[in-house]
Order: sequence, then C-alpha cells, then structure tokens
Amino acid sequence: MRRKCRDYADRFVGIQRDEFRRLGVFAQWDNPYLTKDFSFEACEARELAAVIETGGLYRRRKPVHWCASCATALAEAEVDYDEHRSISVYVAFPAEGAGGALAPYAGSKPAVAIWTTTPWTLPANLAVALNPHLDYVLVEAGERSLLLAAAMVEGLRDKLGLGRTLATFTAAELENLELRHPWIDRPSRIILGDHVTLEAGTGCVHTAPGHGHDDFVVGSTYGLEAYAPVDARGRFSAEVPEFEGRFVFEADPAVVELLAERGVLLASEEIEHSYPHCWRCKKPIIFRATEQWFLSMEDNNLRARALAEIDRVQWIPDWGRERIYGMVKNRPDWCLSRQRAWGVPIIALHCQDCGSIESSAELALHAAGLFESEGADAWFAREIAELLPPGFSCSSCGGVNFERERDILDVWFDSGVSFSAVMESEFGSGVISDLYLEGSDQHRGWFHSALLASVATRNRAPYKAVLTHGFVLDGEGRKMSKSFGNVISPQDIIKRYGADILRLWVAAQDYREDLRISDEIVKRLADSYRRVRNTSRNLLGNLADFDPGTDWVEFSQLPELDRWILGRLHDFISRCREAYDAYEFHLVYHALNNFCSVELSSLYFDIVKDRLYCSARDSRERRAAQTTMYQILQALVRVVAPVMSFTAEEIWKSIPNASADDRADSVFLSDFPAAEEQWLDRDSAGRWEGIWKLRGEVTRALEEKRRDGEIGHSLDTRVILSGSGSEFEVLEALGAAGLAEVFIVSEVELKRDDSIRSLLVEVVAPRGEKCARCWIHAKGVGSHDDHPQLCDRCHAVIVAAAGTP
Amino acid sequence: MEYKQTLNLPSTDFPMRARLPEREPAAIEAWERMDIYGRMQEHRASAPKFLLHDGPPYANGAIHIGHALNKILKDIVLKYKALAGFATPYRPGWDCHGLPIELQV
Repeated sequence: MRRKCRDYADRFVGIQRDEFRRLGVFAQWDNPYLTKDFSFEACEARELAAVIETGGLYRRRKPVHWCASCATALAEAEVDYDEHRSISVYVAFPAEGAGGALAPYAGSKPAVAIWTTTPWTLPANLAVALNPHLDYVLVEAGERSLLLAAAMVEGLRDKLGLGRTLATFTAAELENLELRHPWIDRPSRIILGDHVTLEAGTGCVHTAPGHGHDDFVVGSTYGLEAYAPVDARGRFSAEVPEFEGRFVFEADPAVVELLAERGVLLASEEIEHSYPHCWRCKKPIIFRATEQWFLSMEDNNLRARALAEIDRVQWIPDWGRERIYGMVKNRPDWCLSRQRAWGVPIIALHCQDCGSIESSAELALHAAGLFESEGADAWFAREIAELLPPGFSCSSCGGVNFERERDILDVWFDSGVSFSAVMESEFGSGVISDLYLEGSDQHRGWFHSALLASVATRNRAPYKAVLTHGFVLDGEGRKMSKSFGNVISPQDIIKRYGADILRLWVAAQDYREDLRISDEIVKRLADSYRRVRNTSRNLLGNLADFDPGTDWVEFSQLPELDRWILGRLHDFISRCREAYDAYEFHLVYHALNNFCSVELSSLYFDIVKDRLYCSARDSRERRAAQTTMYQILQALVRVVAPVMSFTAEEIWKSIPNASADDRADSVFLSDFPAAEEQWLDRDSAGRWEGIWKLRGEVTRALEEKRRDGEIGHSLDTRVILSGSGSEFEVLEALGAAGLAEVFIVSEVELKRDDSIRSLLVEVVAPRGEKCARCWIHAKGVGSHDDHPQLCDRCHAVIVAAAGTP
Repeated sequence: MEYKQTLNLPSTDFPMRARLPEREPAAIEAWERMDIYGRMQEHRASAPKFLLHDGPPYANGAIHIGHALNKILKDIVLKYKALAGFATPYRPGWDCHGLPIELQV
C-alpha cells in the first residue's frame, strides 16, 4: 500500500516537473524535495521530537472536524464553507423539577427554549448554555411557559406563541439548574458561556460537548464529557437505540418527528446556511469527539508568540496580515493526528500493561534514525522491539510490552516543517527564507502551519515576507469547472500561443485580486507581445553594422533627440526596477507597453529612420542613433527577461557585435540594466514635452491636408511656425532643421513675430524638388550633373560610397 | 541607378514571426545543455542570497492554470533577483503524502 503510494507520487512528480519546465521555469529540477523522501520524513520525526520537547503535544478526546465519508479528522485548512440546507428546530427542555429560581413558577410548566440547526446532535445534548451577561425571562406560551433571552422575545412572539412575561432572571440565578433531556431519561443542565450570542435563536444554546468546539470548551469547565454517540462513518451507535445505524444527516427528519411526538417541538423550518464541507469529497462534515493528538496553542504561549511573529513579517498584499492574524488568534488547538495510512506516523507507543501512552523526544529521535535509511515505512514494517530505544520502558509502570500508535501526522505538519527539512538542511539552522509565495488560500494552509511549527520550536517565523496571489477565473469572473466547460488549461495556451504569452499574461495581471483569463484576453496579450517583438526586431535590424567598440558616440555628442529617448529609457528602467522590487509586475507590463508603442515606435523610430537609412553608413549622426539604440536594446532585453524569458534569450543571441561586457552566454548571466545618471536632463525633458505637444498639432494639420487630397507624404510639405515668447525660444533652440526632422517634413521655417501670442502653424508646399533617395524636398536636387535626382546630402553619401571599394 | 539599394536598411535574422510553440522546446533544450540554472548560481556564487522557499504542490494530476500562475510568479521574482545581483538557489518541492493519493491507490 505505502509502496504503491510512493510510486503514484513519483509518477505525478515527473509529469508536473516536465510541465513546469515547459513554462521556462529555472530550478533544480533534478534535485527536488519530496515530502516522502526518507531524509524529509526523518527530519519531520525530529521536528515532532522538538515539539514533544516543548511539552505542547497532548492527546485527548475532543471534537474535531470529521468527514464521515472519508472517515478521518480534517484540519482547519481542509474545510470549505458552502451553502447547505438544514432543518432548524425550536425545542422545549422541560424544567418543571428545576427548582431554584424557577421553583415559584413550577405550576406554569416551565421549559427552556433552544434553537438548533443540527437536530441530530440532540441525542448528545448534555447542557443548555446561557450568556452570563444577559437577562432571561419566563414567558407564557400556551399550556406551558418558556425561558429565553429577554432581548429575543419580541422577534419570536408569533413563532413560539408567546404571551405574558411571568418573571425576569439574571443568567447567574439560573446556573446549574437541572433540566430534562427532551426525550431521553437523562438530565441536562443550565451552564453559562460567553460564546452565546443573540445573532439567532433564543439566547439559550443546546450544548453537545462531543459535537462542537464551543460546546466542548464550555462543557469542560463544567466537567461535561465529550459525548459523541456516532461512529467513524457518521452513524449513530448503540448508545442511541432509537436511531442506531442511521447516518446522522438522514436521521434529522426522524429526530424532528420524535420531538413532535413528545410534544417538545416548538417550531421547525428549513434554512440555507453556510456549513463546513470536506475539501476532498465536498460532502458536509460533522464535529465528532475522538481521541486525537493536539498541539496546544496556549502551552508555552504559542498563540501569543505566533501573533507577535506575524507582525514581524511583511505581508504582500498587506491585508494578508489581518487574515492570518485573525485565524491564529481564534483557532483551536492544532489537531495533528489523522486516521489514515499514507504519511509520517505520530511516534508514540501504547503500554500493553497499564494502558498509558508514551510519547517522548527520545522515542521520536530513535524513529528518526530508522526513517533516515528506510523512510517512515519503518514504523509500520519493523518489529515493535526495534522501535524502542535501548532500555526503553513504560514511564508509568515500567512495562516493556507496547503496541505502536497507528495515527499519522496531518499533511500540513509535513509541509509545515519544510523550512527545516529543506531550507535549514541546505543553508544552516539560522536561515530564514526571504519569501514564501503561494495562493491566498495558504493563509490558513501552509503559511499557517509553517508559522506554528517554526514558532513552536524556533520562536520565530520561517519567512521574512509572504506574498499571495488570487485565483484564476474565466473571462466573466466565474470559477472554472469541468462541468461548466470554461476551463482554460496552461497546456492549451502553450500549444496555441507559447509559454511566453502565458508568462506575459501572468505579469500583466494585478495578482492581488482574483485573475481572469479567456481567449480574448490571451489574444490581446499576444498583440502586445508582437509589439515588443517588433520593437526588438527594429532595434536588432538597425544594429547590424554597429560595433560598439569602434562606432560608439559619447553621450555629450548625441543629438538632442537621442538624449531625450535616453532620458525616457532612464525613466523606463527606474520604473521597472521599482515595480520588480515591489513585486508589482503589472506595472512592468504597462511601462513596457508604453515605452515600446509610444516613445519608441510612434516617436523615436519614426523620426530617426531618415538618419539611419539615408545618412552615410559611418556618419556621426547615424552612429549616434545606433549608439542610442544599442543601449535601448541592452536595457529592454534585460528588463523583459524575467517575464518573456524565451524571447529575451532569442533577442540576446541575435544581438550583433555585442560589446565584451554584454556578451554573456545567456541574458540570465547578465545584470539588470543601470539607469545612467547622465541620461537625466530635466530641462531638456521639459522642452521636449512642449515639442511633442506641438508635433501633435502639426500632425493634425498634416492629416487635414492629406484628407483634402492636397498632400501625399508628410515630406511633401513645409511647415511655417510663427510666434513669440519663451515657447518660441524652445523651438529656436532645437532649430528649424531639428524640427523638420522631428515633424518628418521637408522644411520648417521659424518666424518670430511679437504680435502673435499663441503659436501659429501653417502647412504649405515645399520648396525644391523631391530627392529620389530620401524623399525630402531639398535644395540641390537637380544641381548635380552625375545624380540630378539627389539632394546635396544624398549626393555626398553616394559619391563618398562610390569612392570606397 | 536604383537608389533604394543605397539605403542602410535594417537587416537581422531575428524573425518577425515568433512561432513560440515550435521554438520554445529547443530553447529549453539549449538551457539544459548549458545548465543555465547551475551557471546562474555559479555566476552569483559570492553574492548575497535571496531565498524563495517553494511551497510543495500536491503530486496528483496534471498542472492547471493556478499552478502555472504560481510557478511563473516565483520564476519572475527569482530571475529578476538574479539579474539584480543576488544568488537565487531554488529547489522545487512536492507534497506526496495524504488522503488524495491514498484514495487513488
């Protein structure tokens, strides 16, 4: 059985590993840790020893979440709350013989009114709890009188047929009065507990200590037994002959019928309410008292220490802190035992002579030694004598006849101690992980169990920061389910689009909330992927003949436009670095999109094209553009590498003539780009903002002309700008030629005119003929006999090129 | 004379069409051949460590979109930290005990 479980796990570890690798995830794939590794199981036994050493482990009969269908106890983390339909009942607990404060009213046939949504727990009733701070009243109700909280009378007057109030009591006056069970010949008694509220019911709470946590806690202060006459399969035992063998939920209607027969049913109704369900089989679960092993939250102040540690951890997003704090603050003791076979045993022995149970660090450490070489299977396979440390005997009677404990440890203890089995084993005992990163359900799962296991034995949290992400929903925000047919699998996306698109999707989402995915969403991402790819291709293509070693142009020698885009690059790199540091990857995605589509594609590339294509190959202005583009490409490829890993590596390997510093075998062996201080020029950035605004106006004016059929290409125009003041000075600083380049027109004329306040834009026909090579209407076209169709610039380029072999 | 031939037009082998589903498996092979993970650790051998501890998914069934989301987020964090100068050892894990496997078997 355990052998088969090992093989089964191995098979799926192999499958999932290949799938994770296909996502482009880098890891020690050939050396993963498995909770079934012998070394892990041995380490877990040692952690159990450490827990035993603290004295916090105890065994007791207590109600725990119990799945009757899986026949096992469940951890807090294994319980899901879901809507469930129950019969709720109001029941009278006869109090005629109660005496005490009720004695004077015995003639009114007093009874205590309770309300419950689990009628099947009534056979296990041992008490009725009242809130010690509330007033209770005895009210006429037909042939009898009912006791209930004063505050609840009006709301229940019609339902329970309440009449005149006969008397008022404090809860304290009623404590310990003896009631009768509604049908079983057994007393029930009035007890007091702060857990009783006025949210629903009568203010008098049916108490079955074997079937509820609060009931158990308050019951134990009154010495009540955790009575639960229900077997592991959820069937009534012989202790309840009237329902023996019946499944508890199916017994509900019969209980109601019996109550009605006995004349103690005051009212009943069906209700929908949130009810715990098994995370595995999805069936409603019960609380059932059984003998279990617990880690105490109060011994050694574990709860208080864990809460203090929570405040030393960085929770991302920050509401994670509230969530786990509330859970740790309110949780019951940790039920560590499971009645299953496949796991690490609770290392304890039952003395066959005196019946006591031995659990000690010595015993657990001895077992750990066996686990190291044979795994936890040794606990079940070895002779009992081999499980005993030398000279071991019962601490109560000195006996040496033992039977082994058969419960195993909660799997959350397995993964909870991974900080020890994995991180401390590799990095030393003082190590604390920088980050745990899981879905937001792990506040009650792994983050929680790891915190308790680590605080219990190390007095510190095992992590410095915890990051959580939401769940993936479909495009409409619905949960994915096979039956609904809206499941989108990673395998499908990889097959159709590739892992890089899936990775880009991950980065693009604000993962703090639930995330959505649909064909449409993925298609949109494929579009932005293409933009980044084309941007990169454009950069690569224009660098084909650029050698940074020989062609580099110093920053101070770069044209204004190139210095402007490097300023933008500075901003892009800084934003991305900050976003990565804050784990806000969607901001990287937005910065990337903006930089590629706005600053690069629609501004810089468009404008710089003339210099790159038409200027002499080795000219200063062309090398300047290439120097700039080289730096943009080097930054871009490294910024996107964590997200679009495949594409970044492909770009990296396509970079021609990379400088020695940039020639690592992989982009992942390079450094995140540095935003160079010299790129920042705030004055220039301000000037350019004005220029871009003006460019927008010019483009609109050109558009109009184009629509009217007056011009074809923007180069078939001359733009006249008239104005005055500081705004105009900015234009003069860049100069007419610079502006023509930026606007992609043949000529710009600047006319200072102090009578014009706001700038005037005129688009007119160009002067000069169109150059056949660069399409600019320029002087010189027609003046060169050898190349009459070329402008002066292009003529010079061609002649020089012809002169060189 | 055809002046277009005299322009310095862009030229690169980097293809316009990504064809990721076909190309990515070869890239993975290349990474594994060069032992990219090992090379990255070596490269940052003396750098400060950034330790992300992998939460073990349950070893049952194929991965779903939630698993992919989780592992990719971790990978983004670690690759960024590696580029930013940290040593980023990362050992993935699996949860192998428990009821779901016991019931399957």
